[in-house]
Amino acid sequence: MTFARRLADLLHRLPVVLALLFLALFALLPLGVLAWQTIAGPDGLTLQAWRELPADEHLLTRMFASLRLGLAATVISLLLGGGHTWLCLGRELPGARLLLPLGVAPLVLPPIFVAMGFADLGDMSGFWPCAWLLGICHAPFVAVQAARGLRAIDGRAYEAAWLLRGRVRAELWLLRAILPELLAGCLLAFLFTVADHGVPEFLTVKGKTWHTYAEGIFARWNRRAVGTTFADLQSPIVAALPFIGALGLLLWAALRLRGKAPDRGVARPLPIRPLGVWRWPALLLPLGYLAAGVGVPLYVLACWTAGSAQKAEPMSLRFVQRSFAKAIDQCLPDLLHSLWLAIGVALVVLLLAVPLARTAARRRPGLELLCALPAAVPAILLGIGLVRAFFDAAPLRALGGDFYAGWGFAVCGYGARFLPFAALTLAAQVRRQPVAAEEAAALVQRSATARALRIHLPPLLPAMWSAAVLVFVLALRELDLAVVLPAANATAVRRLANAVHFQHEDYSGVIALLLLLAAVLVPLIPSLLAGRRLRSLS
Amino acid sequence: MKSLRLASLCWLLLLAGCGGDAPANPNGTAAAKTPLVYCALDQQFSEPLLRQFGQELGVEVRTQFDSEAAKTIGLVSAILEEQKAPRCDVFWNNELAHTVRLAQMGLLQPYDSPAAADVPAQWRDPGKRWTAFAARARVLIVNTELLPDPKDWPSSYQDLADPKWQGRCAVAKPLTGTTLTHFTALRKKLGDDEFNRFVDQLFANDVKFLQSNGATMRETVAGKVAWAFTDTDDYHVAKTKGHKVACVFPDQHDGGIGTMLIPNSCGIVTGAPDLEHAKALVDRIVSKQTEALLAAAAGAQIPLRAGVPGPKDTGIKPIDGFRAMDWDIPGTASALAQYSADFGKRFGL
Amino acid sequence: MDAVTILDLELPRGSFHLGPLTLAVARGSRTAIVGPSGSGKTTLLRCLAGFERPTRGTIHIGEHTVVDARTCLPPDRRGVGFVFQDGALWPHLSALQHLTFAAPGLGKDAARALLARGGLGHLADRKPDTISGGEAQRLGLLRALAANPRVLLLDEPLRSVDVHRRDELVLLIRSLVDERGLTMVLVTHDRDEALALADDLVVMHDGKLVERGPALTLLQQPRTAFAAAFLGAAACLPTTDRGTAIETPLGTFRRPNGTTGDLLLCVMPGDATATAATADLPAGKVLACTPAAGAFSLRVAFAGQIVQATAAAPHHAGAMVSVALQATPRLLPWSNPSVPSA
Repeated sequence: MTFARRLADLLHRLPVVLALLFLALFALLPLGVLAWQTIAGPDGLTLQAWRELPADEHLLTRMFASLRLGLAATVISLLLGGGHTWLCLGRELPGARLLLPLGVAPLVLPPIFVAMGFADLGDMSGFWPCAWLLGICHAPFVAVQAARGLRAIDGRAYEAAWLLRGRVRAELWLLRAILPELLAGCLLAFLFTVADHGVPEFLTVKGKTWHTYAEGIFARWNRRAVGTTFADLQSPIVAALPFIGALGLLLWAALRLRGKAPDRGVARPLPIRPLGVWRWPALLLPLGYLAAGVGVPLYVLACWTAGSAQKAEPMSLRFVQRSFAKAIDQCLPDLLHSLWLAIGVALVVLLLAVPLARTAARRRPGLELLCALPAAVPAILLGIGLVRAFFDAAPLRALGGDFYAGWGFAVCGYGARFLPFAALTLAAQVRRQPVAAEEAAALVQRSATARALRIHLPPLLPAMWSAAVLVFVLALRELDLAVVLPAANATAVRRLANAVHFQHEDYSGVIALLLLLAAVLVPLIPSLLAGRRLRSLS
Repeated sequence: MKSLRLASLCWLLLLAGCGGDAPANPNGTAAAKTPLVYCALDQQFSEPLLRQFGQELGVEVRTQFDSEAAKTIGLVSAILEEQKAPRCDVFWNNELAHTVRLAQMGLLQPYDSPAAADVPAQWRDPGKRWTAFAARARVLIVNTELLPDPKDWPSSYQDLADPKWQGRCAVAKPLTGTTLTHFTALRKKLGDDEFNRFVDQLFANDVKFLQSNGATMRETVAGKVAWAFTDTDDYHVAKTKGHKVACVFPDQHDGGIGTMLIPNSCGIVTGAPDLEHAKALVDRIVSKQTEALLAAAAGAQIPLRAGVPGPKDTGIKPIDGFRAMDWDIPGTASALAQYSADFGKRFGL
Repeated sequence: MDAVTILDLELPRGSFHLGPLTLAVARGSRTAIVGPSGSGKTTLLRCLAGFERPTRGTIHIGEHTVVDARTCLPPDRRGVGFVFQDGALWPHLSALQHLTFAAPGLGKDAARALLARGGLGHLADRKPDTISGGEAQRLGLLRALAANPRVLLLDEPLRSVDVHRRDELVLLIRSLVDERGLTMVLVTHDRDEALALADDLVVMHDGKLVERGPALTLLQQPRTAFAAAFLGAAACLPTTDRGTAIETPLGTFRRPNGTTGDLLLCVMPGDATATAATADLPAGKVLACTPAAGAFSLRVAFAGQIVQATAAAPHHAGAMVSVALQATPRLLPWSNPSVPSA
């Protein structure tokens, strides 16, 4: 083997090694540090913090509340997201082709925007309002998975069932056929619901008097400033680690379910299924879902900018101008910081996710779970771990400057959080690529890098773009990490959350609308440049 | 459609252009010796001031603001966490007790700021580790639609326990922020037995315990309670938004304990990497001018110096217009941790 | 020296076990590995290409050892070309780019010439999704040949090609292989594809070699009932062992010398005749009747099998006919894994 060839092969492996190193540093190390600190007491190793865990009477109540909330929100996600796809894909629903891709639209809105919108309209302090909010916010997970399942069904099999057992039985058969995808979507919705801190915390500020597990973790983390004992100081972490374990198991189950429903080759898509007299009434569900997930928050935010949150003067265009002026004056640097951060995160995640996804899809399926692990960690906790692991890390100091509080560290922290989404998306796409085409490339006497660049990557480009867009949007709307990481202190969404807390609804509405505009426009750049017809990002 | 596309593209380019030398950001660029300020005061009010101070000093002031979600003690926690390798130079807290506690733990270093010389002695640390300025008062916000006659308004903290107000008044849980300081000081003042009786009465009287002073203000504005304890800045927000509310400075009657004042506070972190700029910043933060600016801002803070003009046309009294509660600052600070744990058990996290 | 030598190769895969098998392919020969789906023929081909790593055994390609206990050369260093079942083209590359990427030293002109040689000169700038299945398979073939491999491996190359285009592709493959003096190894489960492209046949069943030899010999004188059935469309009728005699539905015959164990009576097309049903001869039901060289070929349901018998007169479907053996009975074992490597 020539030196050049060895070097090329080594370079080819380098991205995977670097990606694994990144995962180890920014996802596993923070968790490891947190876990270690729970037993490393001031007088040596101790299990004191763990022993005191069961004595905490609030813990069980909160865990139960989170589970209830997760289940309720998941059922709502299933009804809304699953129902949306069920009615819009392959149905004679008026406007179904337009409505179907809009099913992912609520994903673009940070859940706290939805919460802000509804909290403005009425009392959201109860259990069911919170469940509805989170159910709406996470319904896109079920919608996307359900669409994936329905698209994978061979239309002829449905027609055979229809012929033999009638339409109702055929529909039931269809439902059963996509059950793995629906369950995977539901598990994701459940996972995100119980891990969410922003919405329950916001509703608490708005008068909610019951609390979730994630809220408890953060409250304990905050109270470390007044903690008196070692067990007190470690209690948020101790309380959270079993939670992560449970979420990890859920994630594993979701991945297994998804794996059991691989992309099937579809000889013929589902036939357009008639709805008969129900076609107009059925329209209410998708419209209601989109109104709740997108319409209401946008309406309320727009009203805020016009002055709806105050009574001193009537809503007016002048007020809108003032709100915009205030927002631009105060928050433009934050907005730009958010944009650059999100772009940086999208790029970094993409660079890391491609080699991980290829390795997971082609050689090491177990790697997928490792990649997905950060998704099981509530962002608040990941942030806490990053702070504890890195605020005084000598290697970071060696990088010069205050790297810990800088853009680069924020990109890494966010990258660890969002890597699972890109890696899983890309791994699924790699699996869809025919192995034979890659084997054909393996026969070619070229370096592994050349093969990767010329053969492996080009078919992945659309999926890479989708993954980058997804990560960009998620990074732009991320609140939980921004609250904890000093490096993300200057993001627009954190400023927004604070501004809402401090009752500055006028310019909060503007920041939110600008954020959403960025979340929609940046992903559309290629279409804008190329002037092509916009296609669904779903 | 084409013009829309063009406009969108222009917007993006504009944003990108505005980015200038991004990804550098105010927090991220750490040139040698640029002071870092941890600031718990509302970013809207403190950020322009700090930017202005930086311009005056010819240095980029890096800032880290607290998240309201962290209930203003996120930065205190950060200073505690970072004590082995301090990053922060100046800590600007929006209350006092935690600052004093940090000083008691040796995490703030002495600095005798000449700008603080005219701050009343009770609001300065004899050890020079902190200085207080620009305060909020713990007041009662009253819904004047529900209680139009001032004669019906509550006038003391004890009204929380008055059966007359059963289920109709609110207070934030004393777990963080100003309410924690308030209840800790109250407990120190009343003694454990009387305080515990008082808390029992609150529970018996169905007082609504909410998560923050903002929440108590909102509940009052919404008419869900007739009145509540809150801070003057929250009251002022409701007032400027046009809500029908009034502000009562409690316990002004003869023999009353007075209204509690919770000032901002400032100190230099022990081991501050940029001591020189830290001192210059403290001089500006605790100055008369800052007090005046904070009084005029939407936060309507009450200057501690008698000569500095207070908030105007707000219903918020100047420092010499009411009787302030005399509270044991060091005692409150040192009791904070223990009492906080007790309150956590009593009121629930 | 043989072009490809396989020694004691083994690859377990769950409940399936490939090998142990030993096989040598002569330089310049055209060999087809045939067998039903799941017999392991594609896995064997993938082992040769380097896509699978055997757990035991050695593989030599030319003078190079590509697999042994310590070595497993990657596919690009084995000097083989591979034609995939469905073309396995690169969707984002044009036909010309396929060749220039596949052969680093190949200039654009040479690539265009090769495309022209394969009848794809006019498609140089087209991408796979705009060409037909037959053209895609031609492109796959040209791609495999572009880097001048020593051995050409083909995995059911005609499978995804329309029936009326197959002959063109067969002619192209044979002419290109002949021109370049290549050694060709083909796997297929289609007897016609194997016979159209290869001279030597290797029959595989259940992960093992059953039989091998020149195509004509195997077709005329199969030594196993499996090869007779698979290659010769023989009906394999059950027998009963009566010591030195074997009782079959078409009569009792003497056990062939040197045979042991269970044997089947293999009735290849033309081995049996059919006449109107009589009481003294075993009868079966006619399924189909087609004219064939002055006589008629009948497909007769007989003893649970379909026997192809010759008849002098036509018989309509559903009629009962008597079946009689007119050739020497072929009493063969089902399979014989211990076939010596040729």
